[in-house]
Amino acid sequence: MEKFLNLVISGAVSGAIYSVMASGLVLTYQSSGIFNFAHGAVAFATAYLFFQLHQATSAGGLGWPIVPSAIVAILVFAPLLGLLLDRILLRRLADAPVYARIVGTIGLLVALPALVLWLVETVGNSVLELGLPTNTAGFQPPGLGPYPREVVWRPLSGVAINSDQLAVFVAAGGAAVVLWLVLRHTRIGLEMRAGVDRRDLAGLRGVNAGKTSAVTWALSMALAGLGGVLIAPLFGLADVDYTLVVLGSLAAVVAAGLRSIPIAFVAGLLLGVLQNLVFGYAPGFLTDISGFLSAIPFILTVVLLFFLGFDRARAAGSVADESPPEDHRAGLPAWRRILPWAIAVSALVVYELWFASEFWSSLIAKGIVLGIVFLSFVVITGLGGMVSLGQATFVTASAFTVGYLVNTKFGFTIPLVMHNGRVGFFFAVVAGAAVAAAVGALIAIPVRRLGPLALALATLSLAFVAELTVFQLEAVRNGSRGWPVPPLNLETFEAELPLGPFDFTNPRTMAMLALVVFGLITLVIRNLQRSPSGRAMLAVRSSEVAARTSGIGADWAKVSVFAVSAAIAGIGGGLLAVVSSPVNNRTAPAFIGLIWLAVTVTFGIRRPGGALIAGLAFATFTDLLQVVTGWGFMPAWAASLTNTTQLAAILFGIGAINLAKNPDGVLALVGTQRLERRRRREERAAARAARPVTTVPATTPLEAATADGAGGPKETEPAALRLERIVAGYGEVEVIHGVDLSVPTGQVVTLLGANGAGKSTLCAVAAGLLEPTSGRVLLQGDDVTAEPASRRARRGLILTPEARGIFPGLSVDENLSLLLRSSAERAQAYERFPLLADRRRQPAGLLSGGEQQMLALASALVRPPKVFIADEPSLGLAPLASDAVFGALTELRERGTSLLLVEEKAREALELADVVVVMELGRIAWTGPRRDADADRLAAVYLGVRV
Amino acid sequence: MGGVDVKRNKLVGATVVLALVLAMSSMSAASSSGRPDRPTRGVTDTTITLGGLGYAGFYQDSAVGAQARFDKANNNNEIPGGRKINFLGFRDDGSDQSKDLDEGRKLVQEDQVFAVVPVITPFLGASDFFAQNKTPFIGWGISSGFCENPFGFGFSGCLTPEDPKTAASTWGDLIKKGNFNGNAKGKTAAVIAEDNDSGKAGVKVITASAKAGGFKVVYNKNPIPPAPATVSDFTPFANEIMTSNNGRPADVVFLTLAVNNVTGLSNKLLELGYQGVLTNAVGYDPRLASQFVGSSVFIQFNAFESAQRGNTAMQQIIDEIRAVKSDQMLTQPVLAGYLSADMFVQMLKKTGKNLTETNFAKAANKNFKYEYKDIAGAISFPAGHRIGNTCGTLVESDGTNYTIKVPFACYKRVKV
Repeated sequence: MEKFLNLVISGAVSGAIYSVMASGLVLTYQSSGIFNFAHGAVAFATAYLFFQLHQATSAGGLGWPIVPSAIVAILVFAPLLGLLLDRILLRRLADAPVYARIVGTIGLLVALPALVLWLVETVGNSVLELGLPTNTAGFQPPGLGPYPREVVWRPLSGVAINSDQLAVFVAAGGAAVVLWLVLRHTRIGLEMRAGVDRRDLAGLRGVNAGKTSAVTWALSMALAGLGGVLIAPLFGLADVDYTLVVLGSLAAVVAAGLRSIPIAFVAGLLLGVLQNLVFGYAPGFLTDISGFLSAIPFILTVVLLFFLGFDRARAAGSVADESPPEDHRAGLPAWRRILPWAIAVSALVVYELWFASEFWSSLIAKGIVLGIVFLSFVVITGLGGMVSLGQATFVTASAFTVGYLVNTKFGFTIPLVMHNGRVGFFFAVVAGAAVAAAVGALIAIPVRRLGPLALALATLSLAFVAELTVFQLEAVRNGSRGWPVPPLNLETFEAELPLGPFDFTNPRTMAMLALVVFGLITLVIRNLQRSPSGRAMLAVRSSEVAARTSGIGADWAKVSVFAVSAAIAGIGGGLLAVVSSPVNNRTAPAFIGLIWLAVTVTFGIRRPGGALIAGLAFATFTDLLQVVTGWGFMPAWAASLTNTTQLAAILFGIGAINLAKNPDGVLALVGTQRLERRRRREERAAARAARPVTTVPATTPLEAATADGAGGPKETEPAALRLERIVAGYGEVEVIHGVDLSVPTGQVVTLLGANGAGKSTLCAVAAGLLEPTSGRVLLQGDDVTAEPASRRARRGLILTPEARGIFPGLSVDENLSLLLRSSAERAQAYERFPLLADRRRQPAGLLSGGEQQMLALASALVRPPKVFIADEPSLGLAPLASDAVFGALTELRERGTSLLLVEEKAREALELADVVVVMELGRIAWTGPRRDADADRLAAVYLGVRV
Repeated sequence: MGGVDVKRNKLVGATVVLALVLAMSSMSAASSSGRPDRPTRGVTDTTITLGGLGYAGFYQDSAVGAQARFDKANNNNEIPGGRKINFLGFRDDGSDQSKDLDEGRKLVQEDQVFAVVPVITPFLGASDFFAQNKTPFIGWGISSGFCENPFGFGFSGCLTPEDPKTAASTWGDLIKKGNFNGNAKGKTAAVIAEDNDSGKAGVKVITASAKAGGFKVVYNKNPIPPAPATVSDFTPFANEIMTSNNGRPADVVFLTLAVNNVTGLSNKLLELGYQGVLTNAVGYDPRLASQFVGSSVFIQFNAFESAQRGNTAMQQIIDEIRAVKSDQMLTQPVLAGYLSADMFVQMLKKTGKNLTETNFAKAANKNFKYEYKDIAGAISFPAGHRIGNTCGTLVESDGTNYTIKVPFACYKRVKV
């Protein structure tokens, strides 16, 4: 019993490390929808700064006391870093496709620690010779607690909690409470949650997404920084360790469903307890398997993901997950598409075979081999839309298979396949690829139903499991010396057997082989894309829900994408075994999978060409840079600045971050820019050739129509809302072709039109959700075209979008308080709708359709806005509820609000209208006062018959 | 049928392309590698070019030590044939196995070094490559690349042999001398390592050493999670050790772990009231002095502190190092760099004027004995390709400085 208590108490206190990290991850995910892989990197950067500030002057530091150092590092630096990152990266990521969101923060994880170390070690110490303190193996700097640490609590003889542990525990608990209070009980917290729940709607309700995003990131970076400074005395100052602690806390994050900070906090503590209990009570046969107990947190993550699968539900909500960008080469003939590649590859071959030095030829060979490995990302992410962070596992599995097969003398020989009892190289690579594919399928089967983020986390965890268990076994990795490929004579170190008919240990031969293999795999990928199964994959990627309902076996498609991608990584791994011979478990550790992904994404993950360039860049970048800075005319400091591997990490990291803007990498970016230039040229030419096209005129001049309307506008008073010559659309598709519309003050304009006429698009333009291509939006005479939705909302323009203007994840009361800040106002709303009062604590998503629409209208009724746009308010409502809605709208009008009412249900809407506008295919087909809008006329317009 | 034909044509086409390309590459490869009677790489009548390789993050300072020794050799005209050593500096492998191979290639193929000195890294990916290119590499044998490789020479021998049959009694003997007045009778020891197969092997070797010192080993396990796993709490491991001797703690704990885990476990043991001896092999560094107060630290050569006790050889080394960099911190890597360079110079002397890779390997691998009196123990080659030397010093930190507990000496070899 005492042993049990020992393990539980000390585990719970120590688990606070995971709690700190898990809470931070949940906070960012909750408030921005981004899983921040760079959480540990920020923790490291902050801890490193704290170390620089606090370290004694004799050791090169500034020698500041703990408190000012902590304030500068945790409360100034980390939040500022958060604000900076928010500006340059995270705000853009919020709208990016899921894989871009994952990869963007991985880029940050790669770049940030490298940048910190480069600034200190290279710029600070090598170039400027400042003598700044740097990390020593195992050095554990003081944290926030007293130094040297003291035992502060001894509840049992077998438990001693020291000051550093207690500091982590107290800080973790404090931070969790503060965060919970901020999120649940402050205005900014409410706005943050509203933004996550429905981003667009939050803008329409006056929530400034930019501000909440900035606050979120400042807050969560401060939390990461706090965690970093706290754990420095426990884990030292090696940058990777911080990320490993964060990844170690994954199980707690998953247990909290990426949702609840209190649960994440408790789960972190439980994780600490569990680790201890497993060690204390695991049966002997488990403890004898080396690595198994160490892998438990990662195994737990996978199991929890499997059962909780937190983003499974979200997939169903998103309609069109993503559409591929326009191919900038569309319209070019096939030879013209291939030509640049043909020239570049020929140049590479000529250089490799006849001009490259031995060193450069081997770097290029390695680059092409890595290109093959990176092709596996093109399949799984570019084609399959899934992010796998476990590709290094497949590379290692295959490389070990190849190493084992070519090194082992079997008692028999199969002709062609084997020579003298050993498997030939080609067949060994095929076997390696098969093993990798099998491992891939094996991993894919349990995780196939997970959403993209869960899948990424699961693959990463499994990669760690493999690294901690199977790959470190002496028999598997052939001891620390690894598998030599080709096998070596251990006396002379000459190759014992050639690798087939050609000498693949020669880098030039290997480069050519790799290039041919690369080409073949590219062909296979292209054929795959065009095959039925390839189309199934694309369908699943584009929208899983739609694919499933179209009868596509999404699970099967996913498993096969995984297997194919693993097989490609396996082929790369087999060749890597030769260029990186001997291979052991350090050749492709799990962590490097993250960096590989960042590099591939930098150069474009949708096309094989991107993978090839990424491979070459990854292998040669640092050396290339040194060649350039070593040129005679370059100053000496340039060479010192670049004489480090960190620069490559910084640039590749930034490359991946850049993805937020250009999800298809450098290649597509360059291509698209050229395409746009070409298009502009053509447009200009066309404009010169023809007279400018006149804007489409409205059937009836608007001003005249409204002047005829009931009451008529006062000439001096500007319209409440006025849209001028609006042209708008989505991407290349133009939906609205020059529309003028005005809503006079105090009047109701009813916008009618068939499905697809562009009504909702026009509403989106008016509210600021969609930026028009041309034209102006005027609110009470002020041009608000450039203003975001949130500012228009605060000017008094409220849009209730088609699918209910409520936040389903927030409670009824919270929904109301977004617009009604005082409780007195909310009380008024409850008075008006007593039904809502009964359910004020319930999530709004649980209300019935009519109640939801009531909720959406309630705030407006209490504080009538200047302009209220209701997009199909009665859609899908029972007649009774529908009547209530129109009653509320009538009331609004009576209280002076100008209304733009979009309806397909013409009868009720017409009763309310002062002016009727009919839209047809993106143009105004008819405008007039209500009395002129007789049913026949409208029906004719609806049916597209000219009257 | 047509589809099949097209496919077959494509396949035939691809095969032809493959054969053509490979044949072409083999031809060009043959033409470029046929260099008859080339001069020895990195050696001219007047110079020998060298470069170092390893993990700069931790071992960068070894370049200063090596430079000090090479300066001395150049100044005193120690190298046969009057050659001077041109030391290019230390290439960083970032503790990354593949990067190590790339940087090793670069040293040989671009920098055209004769040998790689010093080499200090945990993951020596380039060792096979060096052997294939007849490039001697001399350094601190902390990685297995120094074992079973005719071109790899650790001044301490091979310290991590594959499947070791013997172990040095050094660590056990040092603890017996330094902490138990030379008598370990009835004393118990715990040996703890990391949770992987190499940890398992490490436990075996250190157990043998502790037994050789006369300790009764009551606990020898490898439960500590290694990276990429993280340990948040050392309490369960500490408690096992605290009760390993029939419910009481073992008298001495050998911690054969990565530095972070040594620190974590040592601290937890102390916090739980452990009164016995904690010993590790990683804690000798001025920057770690405050972290390992009271721990007995085993080092494989003599300590810098011996200079204060009248070790003139050490004082001279320190002076030479300070001549290269006046404020150089005295760390194990600095001395390891110096010793690597020194052994290389001795090997050059044995090789003589006619310096080629083959002559060097022949001279270094045939009854070559190395010892730096009062600094580093004896090792001979070729035996040193398989075993490490059996010498060491035991030091202890008082928080700011290290004091020598057991002076430098050599011990015996025992069966595992």
